[in-house]
Formats: sequence, structure tokens, C-alpha cells
Amino acid sequence: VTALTLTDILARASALPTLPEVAQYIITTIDDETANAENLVEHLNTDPAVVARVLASANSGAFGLANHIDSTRQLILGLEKIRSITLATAVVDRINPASQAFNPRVLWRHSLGVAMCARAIAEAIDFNAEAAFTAGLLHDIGQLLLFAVTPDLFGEVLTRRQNLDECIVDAEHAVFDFDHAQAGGELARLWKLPAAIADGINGHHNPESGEFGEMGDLIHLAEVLSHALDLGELPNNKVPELSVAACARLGIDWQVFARRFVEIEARYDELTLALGLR
Amino acid sequence: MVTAAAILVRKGEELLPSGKVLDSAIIESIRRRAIRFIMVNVPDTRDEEAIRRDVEMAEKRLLHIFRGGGSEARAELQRAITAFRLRQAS
Repeated sequence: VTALTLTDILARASALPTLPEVAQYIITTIDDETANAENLVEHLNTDPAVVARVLASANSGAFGLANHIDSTRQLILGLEKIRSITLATAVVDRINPASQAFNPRVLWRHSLGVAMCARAIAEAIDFNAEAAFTAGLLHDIGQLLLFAVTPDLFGEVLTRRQNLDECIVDAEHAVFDFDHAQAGGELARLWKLPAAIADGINGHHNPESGEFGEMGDLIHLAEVLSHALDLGELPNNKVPELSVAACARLGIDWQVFARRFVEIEARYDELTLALGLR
Repeated sequence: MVTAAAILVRKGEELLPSGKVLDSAIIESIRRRAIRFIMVNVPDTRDEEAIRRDVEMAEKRLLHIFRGGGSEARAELQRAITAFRLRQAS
């Protein structure tokens, strides 16, 4: 195990680009009932690079918008959905470290799969669907951090996972003294994201105790479901362990929930296509 | 193109029955109601051999991604996913 601690990693977090301003605004106002579409459009229009991609995503149908949209002004039609679209577009475009060993497009496809599963689970249990989508989208940000700070050691993790067919958390604990979920959770706190988002990131591989609350349970279920639905075209995909306790706490019955599978797949396909990740 | 399942509105009332032909007026009406997703029947042109191959591939892929043991919750999810995939493949 390397001597590099989680504190060391976080001290070098500037190796990873920070979230774009518009994404930061969306995430920090997730629970703010006074946040309105006018403010969002104002933030969005300060970043022209994002606007065209947002419009393409909005029109893809992945978020269920009924009418064709051709200006940011019309985006006011569906504030919650536009928040999700803008966030996905801005984050995926900004944070894209790459090397021969690590392809961020694969990670973002998986993250969008988890985000779509998180939204569907949230809708089924009457939980905040936009917050769930956000936590799902960012749940593996710790992997991007580890790769950005220490690409060689993270490369070792990926090699172990591939060669030994280990789950990534076990591979990480063999190389580091912590895992990407803990690193991502701490990064979310460093970035001052809402506590529920940080809990979702931190708890997605560690749901047993329930210490990360409903969001921790929800992102754990979304992560496993995304693997089970084979979203993201992950090389050597393997469905992780699923917590009985987390399923029970959220009251998810998979036989009943199964009616949502086809919709999750359809919306995932449309969104990844719109974001140019296919 | 026809609906594969009835479209229900929020209170459970039926908006369109299963098997309804979707013409442009109906599609526009669905759009206006902001219904985000419907299921349509697509004629299956595969022969029996192609269906058998698709089912076999689906089963093989499921065994691969669900390799290794796990909890009862994971087994329950596997059963739900398997039923879904086999329905799609056949």
C-alpha cells in the first residue's frame, strides 16, 4: 500500500479542473426553492460553449421535454430538467483527463447510467429526483481525482481490477489506504457541494451501516442497477454486491421496479447520444 | 406503428388503449400532454433460429456480468433483469 494518504490527494485536488460556474450554481441551489429559471439562464448564457450542447441534449428527448427548444429563453419550460441537462453537459465537457490507460468517456457513460437509474429510483420512492441525478452523475468523481493526482498508482488499480477480476474498491484498498468513494465524498465537501450529494458519493460502495442516509442507499442501488442493465458498455462489466439492508430501507422490490427498466435504457441511450458519448 | 401497452394518465385513467394505431394527430396529442415515453409494437422479422441465437447470447451475457456469488438482494435483481432480457430477446 502506498504512503499517499487521502489528505495528500485532497491537497493536490487542483490537478482536477473545478466544476464550471453554471454547474456549481445548479448543484448548490438544488434545495433552494427560490432558485429560478431566469437566474439559471443568466448563468448559462455566460458560458456560450455550453449553450449549443445543452440545446442538443434538451432536444434529444432524454429528459422528456415535450416541445422543441431553440433558445435558452425557452428552456424556462422545464426548470428541473434543464438543471439536469446543463449539469450533465457542463460537467462532462469540463472534466475529461485522459491517457492510454484511462478513458474518461467510459467513466462518464457509466456515470450517466447511474444518474438515470438514480433518477428512476428516486421517482419510484418519491425522493428528490434532481438531487439523485446529480449525485449519480458525480458518484465516481473520486476516480477522476485519483487519476488526475496520481495516474501511475491509479493505473495499478485498473490493472489489478482487470487482471484479478477484483471490484474496484478492493483494488483501490490494495494500492491506497482508501477508495474512490471516500476520495470523491471528501472532494465534494471541499467543493462545498450539498451534504446529501457528498453522502451519495461517499456511500455508494459502503451502504451497510446506513450512515450515508437515503442518498447513500439510493446511489448504491443505482450503481448496482446500472451495472445489471449493462449501461455504459463497460469493458469486463461485473455486477457489484447489492446490500439487502439498503434495498429494504428504500423499499425497493425489483420485480415491481422492473417495469421501469425499458424507460431507463431508452433515456440513457438518448442522453449519451446527445452528449456525443456513443 | 401501434401502442404495445395502454397509456395511462396520472390518476390511472386510460388515455390510449393497447393496440391503438399512432397517427400524426395522436402523436401530437401525446406530445402536448408531455407524456415522455410510450411503448410501441415493432413487428418481429426474425426467424426461429435468430431468436434462439439472441436468447442464447442474452443468457451468456447475463451469466458473465452476474459472475460470482452475492446477496439475496443481488439474486433478486438478477432474476428481474433476466426476465426482462429474455423477454426482449424472445
